[in-house]
Amino acid sequence: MLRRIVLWLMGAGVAALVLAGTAQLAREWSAVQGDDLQSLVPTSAQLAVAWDTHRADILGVYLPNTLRVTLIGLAIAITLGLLLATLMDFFPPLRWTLYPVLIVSQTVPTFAIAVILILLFGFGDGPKIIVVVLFCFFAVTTNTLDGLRGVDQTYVDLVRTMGASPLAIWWKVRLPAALPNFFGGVRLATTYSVVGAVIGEYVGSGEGMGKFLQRSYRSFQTDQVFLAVAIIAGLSVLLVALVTLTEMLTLRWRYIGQTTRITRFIQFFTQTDARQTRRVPSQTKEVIS
Amino acid sequence: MNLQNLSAVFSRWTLSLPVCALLIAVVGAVSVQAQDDAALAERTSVKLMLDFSPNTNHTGFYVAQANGYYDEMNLDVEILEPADVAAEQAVSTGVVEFGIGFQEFSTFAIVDGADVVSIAAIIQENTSGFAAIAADNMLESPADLAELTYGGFSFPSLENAMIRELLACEGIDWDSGNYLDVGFADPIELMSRDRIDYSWIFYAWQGIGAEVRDIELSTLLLSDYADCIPNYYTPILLTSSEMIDENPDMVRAFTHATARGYEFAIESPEDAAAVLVEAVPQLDETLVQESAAWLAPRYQGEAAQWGEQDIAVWQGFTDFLVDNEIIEAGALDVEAVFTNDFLPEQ
Repeated sequence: MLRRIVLWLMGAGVAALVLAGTAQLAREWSAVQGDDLQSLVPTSAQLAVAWDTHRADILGVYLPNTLRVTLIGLAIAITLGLLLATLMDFFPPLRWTLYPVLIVSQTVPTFAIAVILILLFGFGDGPKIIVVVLFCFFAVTTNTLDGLRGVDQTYVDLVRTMGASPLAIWWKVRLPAALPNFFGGVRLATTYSVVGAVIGEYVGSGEGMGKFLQRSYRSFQTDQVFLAVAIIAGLSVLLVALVTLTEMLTLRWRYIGQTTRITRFIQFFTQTDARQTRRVPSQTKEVIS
Repeated sequence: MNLQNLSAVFSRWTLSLPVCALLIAVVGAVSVQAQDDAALAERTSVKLMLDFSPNTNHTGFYVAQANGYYDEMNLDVEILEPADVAAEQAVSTGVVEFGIGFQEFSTFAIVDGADVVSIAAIIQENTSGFAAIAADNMLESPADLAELTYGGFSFPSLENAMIRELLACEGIDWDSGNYLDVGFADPIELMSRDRIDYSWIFYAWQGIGAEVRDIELSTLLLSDYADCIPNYYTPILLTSSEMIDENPDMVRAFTHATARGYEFAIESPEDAAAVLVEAVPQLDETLVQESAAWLAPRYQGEAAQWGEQDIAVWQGFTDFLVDNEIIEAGALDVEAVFTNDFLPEQ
């Protein structure tokens, strides 16, 4: 597992290098074209200076504030998403009535409801957390619901003939089968969550990365803008990596069972014991036990 | 040290004696002034919502905060930065006690039914203007604008009316030109990339911001064309009539302390700028310093005291809006939209 994480990080490093290289190429190209991007895209040296100047504030104030809102919002969104998906799976009328409402919830621009959110929740973390929840819960709900609906009926029938109650069927068959979808939704939600917290600050107030970004943009500090963007992006990548790690630990059976090109590639480097990876997928076994 | 030097030092000392006396007198006067009878008996928390990210238009509030002027009035002030919420809306709904707006947009909000009252003009003169990059388009007079592409902020009725009126004063019949809606993207950046030719900017921030970045602008300041387009207050300090009715003492205490903050910004722009940068470290210090120096004489301008509003200014610009069919005649009660009652010397 640790090796996989190291590999994953190596992959992220390679991706970062490719991105940096591409950005540099674009700059060189635009320089040749006579359109100078220097004032729009800061150099890494400028970023380093901006980081040195504001490191204490970012690490001490702005980043913790954004992280707190992100994590609380994400936790609520995942819980709510799972709950809604479950309810909609159990009660078809709820599915028909709630689905359109959920879609509508995704189409409301935040500034249109900003004052309402402030009136309801004040200027603290409340409105920001609500924005994160709004940004994130939908992906969890729809993905989980798809997973619950798409479970192989033969498993359900099998357990039912063994006399399992609907609740037991849900707990032992449907939910485990929906977990890969659920994690897919959580991964999407996590990707949105940090930017949700940043936009949430535009609604309420508070001292987070969004405020840092906005103040910097509005006093023409391009280097600080890109620094903030890099930090926000870095935080998103880190959180998604954590979700992926959790997923790998939770769905061990799924990952160990796979013999895709990617796992073979990983095995080649990690020299994982072949017998272990050849083990039969244990999904059915778990269901029966 | 020879005798000559000694005598020089001595004479400097004797000279400074009256200066010292004067200083003591001034300090005494200031500390008397600090005992403002508008101070509240009970500790009160209020919120102020800005119109934009913190900039030198707001220096007085940050000074009043940092130098303890609000504290002396028994006020706890929280300064909020908006983005998705208009200050007029926040003030009108009562989620904040005070807000910063602009005469034109507050007028629109009031006409739409918002409850806001202007209690101080933060800057006497309109510091906005139409600007182009000097190297691309020299603006000698408004006539030069006729053929250029304008980068606007989604308010063409008002923006075109401004340009139309400026050109009409030059004897040019112009209805509308190349209007490109750029929202709130940095217009200077768009101009330097030839996406637009000119834009309507706040000189004290965006104009000086360009200068700090070594971009030379050619600017037509609206204050230079006050004969053509009547002066109006931008920005202004807002509260609601409900707040004035319910808690006039609090409104008075806040306005007094704020006025002191601006008086400090007028007298010591360098120190005031340092206070702003200290409070909002993301700002560009050079820009804040130069902007503070530019604004210092303009906050109060020719008015008897900082913040004072003249009914002629409100009436003149309202007539302009009516003439250009942006608002209906009689839609705004000019006497009810502002008051000088809460300023220190009333």
